[in-house]
Amino acid sequence: MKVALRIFSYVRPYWRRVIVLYVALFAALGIQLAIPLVLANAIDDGIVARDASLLVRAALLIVGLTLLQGLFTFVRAYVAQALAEQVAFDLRNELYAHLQRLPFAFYDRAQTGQLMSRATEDVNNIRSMLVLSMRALVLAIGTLLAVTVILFRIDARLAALALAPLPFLIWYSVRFGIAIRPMFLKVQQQFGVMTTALQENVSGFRVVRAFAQEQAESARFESELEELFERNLRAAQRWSFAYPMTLLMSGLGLAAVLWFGGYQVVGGAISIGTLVAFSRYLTLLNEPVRWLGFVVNRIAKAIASGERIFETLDTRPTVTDRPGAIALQQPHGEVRFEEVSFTFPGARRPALEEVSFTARPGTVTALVGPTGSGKSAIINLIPRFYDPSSGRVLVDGHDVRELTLDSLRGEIAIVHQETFLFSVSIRDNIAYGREDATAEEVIAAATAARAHDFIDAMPEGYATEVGERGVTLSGGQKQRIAIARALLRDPRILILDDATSSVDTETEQEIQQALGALMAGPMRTSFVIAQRVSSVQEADQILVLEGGRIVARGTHDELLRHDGFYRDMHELQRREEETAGDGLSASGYRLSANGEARGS
Amino acid sequence: MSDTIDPDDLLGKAYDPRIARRLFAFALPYRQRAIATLLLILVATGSDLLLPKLFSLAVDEVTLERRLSMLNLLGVAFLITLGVRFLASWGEFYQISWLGNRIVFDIRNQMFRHLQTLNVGYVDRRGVGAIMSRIQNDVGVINEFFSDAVAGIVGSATILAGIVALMLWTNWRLALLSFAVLPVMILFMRYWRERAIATYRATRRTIAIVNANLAESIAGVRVAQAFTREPANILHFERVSRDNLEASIEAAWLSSLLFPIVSLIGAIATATTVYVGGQLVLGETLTIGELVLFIALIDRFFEPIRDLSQQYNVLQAAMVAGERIFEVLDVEPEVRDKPGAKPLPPIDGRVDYNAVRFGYGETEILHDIDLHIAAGETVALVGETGAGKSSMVNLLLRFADVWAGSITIDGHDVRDVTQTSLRSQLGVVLQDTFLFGGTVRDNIAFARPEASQAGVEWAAREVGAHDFIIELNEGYETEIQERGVSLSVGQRQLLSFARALLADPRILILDEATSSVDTQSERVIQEALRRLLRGRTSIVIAHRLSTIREADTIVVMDEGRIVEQGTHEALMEKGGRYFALATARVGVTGDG
Repeated sequence: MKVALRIFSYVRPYWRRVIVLYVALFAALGIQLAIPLVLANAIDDGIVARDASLLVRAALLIVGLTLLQGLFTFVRAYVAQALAEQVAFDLRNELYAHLQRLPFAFYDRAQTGQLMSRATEDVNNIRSMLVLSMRALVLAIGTLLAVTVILFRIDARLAALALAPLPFLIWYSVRFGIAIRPMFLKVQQQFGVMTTALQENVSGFRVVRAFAQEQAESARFESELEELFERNLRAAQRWSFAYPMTLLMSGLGLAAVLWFGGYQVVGGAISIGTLVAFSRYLTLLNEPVRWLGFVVNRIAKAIASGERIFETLDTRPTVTDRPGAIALQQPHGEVRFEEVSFTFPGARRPALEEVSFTARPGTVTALVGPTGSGKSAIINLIPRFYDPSSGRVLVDGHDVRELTLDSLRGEIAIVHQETFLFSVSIRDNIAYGREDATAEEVIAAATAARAHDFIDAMPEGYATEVGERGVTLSGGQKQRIAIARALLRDPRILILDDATSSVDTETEQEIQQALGALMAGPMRTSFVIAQRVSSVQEADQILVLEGGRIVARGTHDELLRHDGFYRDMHELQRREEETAGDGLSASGYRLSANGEARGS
Repeated sequence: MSDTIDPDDLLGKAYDPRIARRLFAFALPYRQRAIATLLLILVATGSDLLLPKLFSLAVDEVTLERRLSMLNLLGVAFLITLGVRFLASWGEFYQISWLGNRIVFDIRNQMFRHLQTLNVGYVDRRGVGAIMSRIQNDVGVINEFFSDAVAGIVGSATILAGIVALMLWTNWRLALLSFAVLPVMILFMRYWRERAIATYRATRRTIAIVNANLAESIAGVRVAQAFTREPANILHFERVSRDNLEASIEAAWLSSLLFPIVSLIGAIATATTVYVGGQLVLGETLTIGELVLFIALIDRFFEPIRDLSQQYNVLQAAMVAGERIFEVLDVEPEVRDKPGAKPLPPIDGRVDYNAVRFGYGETEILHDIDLHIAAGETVALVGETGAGKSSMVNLLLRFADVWAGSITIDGHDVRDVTQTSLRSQLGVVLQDTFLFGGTVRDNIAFARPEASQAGVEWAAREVGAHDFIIELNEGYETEIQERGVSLSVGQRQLLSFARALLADPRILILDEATSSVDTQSERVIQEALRRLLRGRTSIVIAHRLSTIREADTIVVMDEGRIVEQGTHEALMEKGGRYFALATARVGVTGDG
């Protein structure tokens, strides 16, 4: 109920339209209910009483009234639909804006598919429920009441008989609307299971073929299909019975009119026109009563959808501007961690425990350590993608929580391990977050990132669309666009998250040069995560992390003097290179797909 | 062809008898049930029309003859007809649903099985999404084809014909007069349909843009926040969302128009009937009951017309969907078992490439390859992208067939044995580790579902995966999420090693992953590889220097030819292509 009220609170701003809607609705209903009376009058006073002039009047009235009714029906239908579209629009926008602000912690646990379905399917459920409940529900109840009153006023005994099946009909219809929902949910669920089985088979087709598992896969898929068929059939058993059943029950009312009413006409208690009017009114009832079950079904569905949507909307962004947060202005770029501890939401073990270090303006800090040692936690805390559990992260001496998010993140650029490009032009991808950039600036950034040449060679140059409808870029090309994107921002603080690890080696060298250009910017404080000694040995300081703690720190040479992870890593990589042969002395250790060794 | 059914296709394609015939062929196994269903539709429709007729007879009886015995008889008849209608439509609905779902079951099953026979190149070319949407959505449309279009058109046509016949039979003059509004009705429906198609296309186009924008925004939300793009994104979304709102409101306008106009046209027919029919009753050429029947029938007249227009849409959509389904079913597998192909007997693992030539389309990729691998030997294939390394292993797996020459295993030509027997003796580790939904155990036992827990654990231990597996929440029974994302790259590789090891193939094909892992994982993986390769014939598309060095033979490929062959030491000494490849790295090291 609370959810339903909250859904309807989105309608409240448009209350004027709601009034128009209901005026039109009741006007149309009233006119509709008048028509059987016109007909009854035409039969009794026109035909039975042999007054031909009444027939002309009745014919004109029917057309006139229907015209008027049509007008109101149009207004009612249009206003209801437009209103529901408007609410869907509002809800979707609110959801989108909210999703844009939710912190990383939220997305760590959310599934993309589910979020999508909230903004599409769930919003849509609410939209269609609003149309139905505002229109069909009120109309159904209105028609039911009005017809009951009219029939009882015409002839109470006949009315009681004709309407006798009605309560049962309403009960059955509503119960069906409730009962069928879980059955359809089960069908949907199984459809999902079948889709997953299919998707895995098609995506993993090489594995299936290579391990000769076609038969087993077909059998598995068939059993999922069989289950889907069974569930569909179970639902079909229910609904194929329900609709004929409601028809049967309303038919019984008509049978009563025909039979008992017939006796009354013969006995002279009622006129033939009244009998006809009764049958017309009962026909009018059919539709709204059948809608009832449907409306109940939709309301239940919309409430479930509403719960999901509001659950998302009620997730408060945990990372927001504090009251009185100040803007970071022309920073030097000093980054300091003071006894920072941090646990990723939902994780059992802390990612960082009392980590302290200082990165002076213009220096390069390298982070090394095994997977899960806390490297990512550090780089995620600087732009305040998460807040630490204890301790402070400072930029230029300001706790990042005291700064406005926009001003803080405006000074930081990140090149992620896995490059995400948007399905817009290459130009827009480079200028992402800096829409005001001129063409010259974009080209300059692309050139520095060693991306200009391949962009220029494309048929549409910088206007080339990326993604599904556009070109497919290689991993290296994507990475260089991401570097150009970071360069264009001219950040004070730069974060490179293992930026070369997922790149094919073809362009590794160029990416190294591009990264070099990026770090070389004036007074830029850089953080680098890397797996290779060769990528970090030039750093001003190297932090070695293990289990969320800094276990060693210093320059390359300092760290080599002591036993530990860094020396092990260096040794291992050096040994590999040596065993590779005399030719491979410096830094490479892999002979890659195209013959160039990779490393650095 | 796009993957969603485009309304443009709907307009272009009408009824295609060739496709319809093939669609009907799917119903053939159930023809008795289908015929019974058609009979049920006829009975349901007939009884549905009998009801107003009985009512009109009752009206006449009570106004003219006034025989209560007749009225009783009519009352009983009315109740019986109600019962018949109930039973017939119950049966009709259920049978239609059974047929539609069963046929969908058959088509999906057939498509899936067919897909398993197609060679891997087909999936690469068509793309996962395209194939998915055919089996998922297009087949769904076929359900509508049978239940809405075929059964629906039969139902609507019968009821329409029944109404027309009943009206003509009762009073043909009055009937023809009532039909006078029909041309207006049809013209309006046609106009409305054209407008509606254009409008609905606009709403679908705009909502597709909204959804695409949404999906991308969610996927890229971290980048958006990192680059403080949220306000601009919100504005942009509101803009595309507003386009959709406007299109939807236009559609609301149009759909609100339909009902009032149709009922107005109906009212004109009713009014005419009341006026003219009333005169006829006064002239005693028509009874009151017949007049009431006319009015009731006019009411029902427009529904089937509206339905038919809807069913016509489904019919067209089904033609498009059918074409796309048959497009998949008609693809001939490029690689097939020869007639009378025998299973490959247990092998030692000797592999011979004899003067193999191969290519795709017109382009030859492998030229005259001769390579002889003794049982138990490890061969590393080295060379640039496009040198032909993948083709070498694809041919051995018989994912494709040679153009000329032959590949033999222990002397058996791979084309002479059944594919299943061939591949079940080959083990493969692919570059991109693909894990299936299901538990860790299921994934390791993928090729040997009957494997014991001990066997699975042994394989995991051998490759060094056991330790991290037991650390997982539910150990071997842990469900792997969304394509295995919850595991690290290194862990996924280890699982695929365990999978190959458990299959215990005589011949192992390994396409090494290029993505790098941290130093510790690297160490574990190298050790696992050593164990995996030991004691079996192995063909490795190698990137790791350690793997290459330990190979018995290094085969250097360039542009589809073998240019050098030998051990690491021998090749380094030779100072040829391999030496050049291995040393090329030095000059380009930027910061090394």
